[in-house]
Amino acid sequence: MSWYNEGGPSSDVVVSTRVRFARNLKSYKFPSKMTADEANHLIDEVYNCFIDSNKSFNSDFKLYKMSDISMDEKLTLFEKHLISKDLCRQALPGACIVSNDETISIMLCEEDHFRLQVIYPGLQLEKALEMASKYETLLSGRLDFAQSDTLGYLTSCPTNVGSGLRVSAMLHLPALTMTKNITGIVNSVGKLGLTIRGMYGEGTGAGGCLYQLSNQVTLGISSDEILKKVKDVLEQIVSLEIKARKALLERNEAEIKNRCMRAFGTLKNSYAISSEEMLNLLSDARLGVALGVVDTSYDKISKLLVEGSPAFIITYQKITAPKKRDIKRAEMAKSIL
Amino acid sequence: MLCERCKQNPATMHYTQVINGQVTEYHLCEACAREENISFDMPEFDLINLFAPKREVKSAGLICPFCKTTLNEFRETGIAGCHKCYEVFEPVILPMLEGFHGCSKHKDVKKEAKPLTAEDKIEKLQKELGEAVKAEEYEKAASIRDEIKALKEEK
Ligand SMILES: [Zn+2]
Ligand SMILES: [Zn+2]
Repeated sequence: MSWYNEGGPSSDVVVSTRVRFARNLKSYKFPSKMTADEANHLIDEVYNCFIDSNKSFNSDFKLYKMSDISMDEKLTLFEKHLISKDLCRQALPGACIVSNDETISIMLCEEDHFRLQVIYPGLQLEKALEMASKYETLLSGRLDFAQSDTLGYLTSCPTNVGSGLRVSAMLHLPALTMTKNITGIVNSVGKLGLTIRGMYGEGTGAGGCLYQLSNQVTLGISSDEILKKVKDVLEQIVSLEIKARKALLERNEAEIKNRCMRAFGTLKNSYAISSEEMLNLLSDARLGVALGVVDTSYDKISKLLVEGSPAFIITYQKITAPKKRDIKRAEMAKSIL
Repeated sequence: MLCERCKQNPATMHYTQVINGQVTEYHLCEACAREENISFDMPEFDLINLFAPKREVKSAGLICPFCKTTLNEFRETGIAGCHKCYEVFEPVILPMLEGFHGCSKHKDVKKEAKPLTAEDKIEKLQKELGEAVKAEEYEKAASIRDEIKALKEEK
């Protein structure tokens, strides 16, 4: 099931786990030098090859050609973390093959010919890597990927060369943010060949206290080593966050619990909520679940995070005006939580 | 011009972005632009990390014969136009990789991908056997021969 419809292990801190492989075909230029015709040709060739590889794929996966869907539908896929914003906006024809359960997505003709991604709720790095490798192997058996003896897999941007693998997790770190410890973490993670960034909004003043931790180095290191590195650091950050939550409670129990419960109250009892406000209310409510003072679940909070996003409301609720979207968002908060 | 998101308010915010070497534009009203700015991104990297110590490369006029990317173009964008660019621009790319990844060589991809099969092992041993015979190391050759025999019987 999709990351925003189901809880997973360590959901008190880890919202989702993502693994992606970047690959390119030998027989085409990289996307920055492709023509629209070449891109369309690649998309058809790859999609047919993919569907032919397994009888059930035709019904288990859906092909979205960016040229066939509206900008709002594209951005909805982006809000579900299935495609990048670049794929929504780029001029080159791109496409995406998405599994019905929204855990597997294969972007075609984005920065690289292939960006194969598996995303799961909570902390499930091994399972995600295993699944992504399974599909990578399936494709590599049928297609000729560009690689060199000394550099491994070749990618548009030299930052992805080697394994082409990015292992990442979306983390909810409210206590480390409130106590301002996050800055130290950002700095020390960088020294280990990893990176941590705010996912929503600019810089480290991350909206919703949501951060993405991922490996930066992909060359000279095996897939398993990358996974282990990310996992080790991830576990340390999780335990630091838990410690920081405890410390916050010891110092200001009443204030923290009050803040979480009020956020939940506001979510359930408002007439209109802007997306910015909701991001912050959801962060406090999620912390409230972890502290046992808010009676809802992590999966409902993730669900609202995605389904309350602007393009999602336009696409599925057919409401376009910003003010009306805020009203709809408040209604959705009431019904989902 | 109307905002392309809500299609109701006039678009007052105009954005130009270069994606994959091509310019794209979009136009939003203030309310939609505010949402756009807080909506998340899956962060990849600052290109700044790519800057490696600039070295004078003799081959400054280089151009990739396959995709026609020039060395200057590659330096500006940090994006390769095709897999052949990696051979053509090797003198520039290797220091770049060294700067970003801390190395410029990958582990053997094939070895990593799958463990050696019995056939691979036999092939390898037969090579060693040939070398041992050439070097007149008959004892070693005999033991390699036994190993090959054992592997063949296993199959
Ligand atoms: Zn608008
Ligand atoms: Zn080239």
